[in-house]
Amino acid sequence: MPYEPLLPVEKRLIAWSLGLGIVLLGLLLWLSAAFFPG
Amino acid sequence: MAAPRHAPSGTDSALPRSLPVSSFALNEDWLALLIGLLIFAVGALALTGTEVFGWGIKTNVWLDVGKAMTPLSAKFGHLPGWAALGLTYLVLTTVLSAAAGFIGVSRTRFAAAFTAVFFLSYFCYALGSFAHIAATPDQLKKFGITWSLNLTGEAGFIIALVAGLIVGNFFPGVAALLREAIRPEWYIKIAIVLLGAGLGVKSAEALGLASAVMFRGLCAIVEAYLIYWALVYFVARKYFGFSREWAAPLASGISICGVSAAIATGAAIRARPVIPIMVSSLVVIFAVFELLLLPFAAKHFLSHEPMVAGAWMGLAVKTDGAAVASGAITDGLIRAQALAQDGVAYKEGWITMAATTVKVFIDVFIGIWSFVLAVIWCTKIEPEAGHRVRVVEIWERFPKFILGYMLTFGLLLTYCLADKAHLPAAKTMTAGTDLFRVLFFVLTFFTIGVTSNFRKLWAEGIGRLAAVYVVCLFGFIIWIGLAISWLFFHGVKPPLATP
Repeated sequence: MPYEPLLPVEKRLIAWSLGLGIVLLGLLLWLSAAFFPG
Repeated sequence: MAAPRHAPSGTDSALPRSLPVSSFALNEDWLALLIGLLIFAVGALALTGTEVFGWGIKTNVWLDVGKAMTPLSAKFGHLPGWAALGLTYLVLTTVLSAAAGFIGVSRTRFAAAFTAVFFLSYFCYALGSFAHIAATPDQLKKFGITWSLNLTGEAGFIIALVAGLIVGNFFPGVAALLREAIRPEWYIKIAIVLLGAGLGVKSAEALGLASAVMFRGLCAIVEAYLIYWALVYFVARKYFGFSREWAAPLASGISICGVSAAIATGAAIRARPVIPIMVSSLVVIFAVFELLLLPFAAKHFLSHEPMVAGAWMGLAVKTDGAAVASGAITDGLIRAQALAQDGVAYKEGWITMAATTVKVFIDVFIGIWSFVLAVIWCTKIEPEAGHRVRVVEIWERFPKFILGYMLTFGLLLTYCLADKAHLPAAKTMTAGTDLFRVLFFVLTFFTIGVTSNFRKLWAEGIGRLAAVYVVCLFGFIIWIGLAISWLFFHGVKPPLATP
């Protein structure tokens, strides 16, 4: 398998995915607690 | 930028492709969309009360071979299993042979080759449903057996792949005879169009569940999706040196929903079909270990947080069958534990529901994520070299079957949400379309095996694939899944059983 360096667009995809995940974590936890208490 | 691929490696290029990949794929893509929509449209007659595919073949987990095959609908109970199989074969052969003519293939030769491919593939699939291979622990009692490999009916996919590899690598003369029907990409794409219908109904059903479980399940999978995928992709690319073509289906297969996600992602980024198939095989095998280990871990550590345990099964166990079976086992184990330890009798089914809800939402996101990846790959990662990408080019390169998936998913979801009373008819409909979807999946596994040169695949890194799977699954997927399940479900308790 030939080596393929990580392209900037791949790095952005990874960073955006993780960043969005972390930001949404706070938002979704708040929404769950506020509107859908268990 | 990486150059676009035209010639597959690791597959036997002499076998399946009579036209260059670029032009062939476009026609094949449209035909897959049209055939998928045709089956969907005919299946939709079930919404009027006609079980239009009731005569189709249904494969059961079996101990007595005479019970392995039955017609899909009880209304056709008088029909022997072999007749249902024969009818299913006739319909598929007719439709596919007619379509094959449009991609420059002799219809007669396709039909002859497809006959052998169909029956060989189906034999493998039925063999995989043997109870000692497929039965999950919650089914052992029903069959009166004490052990099983726990592989679920999806074991048939692996058997089909192995059989295909044997034919392709050791019987090249037979493989050459079958060449007209060795079209894994075509079968995969039709299957994915049909997959959307089944998931649309499942989603509508889940929306009728308790709103808190549903919303928290949705939150959990959004989180898991975004975090899992990115981490697995990064680890596979950075530390294991996988190419993009391998890393994306691997990330989807490990992090999302196994077989379907790996296949949809592979097709969306135009990876060679052998890649998602190899990933899928690993997913099915590792799901067995998860199924055997995680419910007991949940019983031991999470008996006071039953809904966390259920959601964890849905997030961590990577095939539909194994995830739901894990949820059911966990349901039984934790309820028994809670009753014995604390005298608390939880209502049956809620832990399973948490697992199922999470799993369904994961499935739903396959289409969305495939769409996102297809756009990124078309526009940024593998655009045609040397010029700026125009919108029309994105459209030309965009895998059309994904639109079919989204259409069938959207139509069924809307129909079911419009009125809950529509659900039973929609389920009857998708039982019929799923019959074909599973057959197309198994055809894909068998034919990909035939086209694969095992030595080349090994050289390409199947061993490394298993290594990255183990590292990611046991290194962080299971534990992040547990953390996310805890965050969204701790403190949520199932209702108590009424005496």
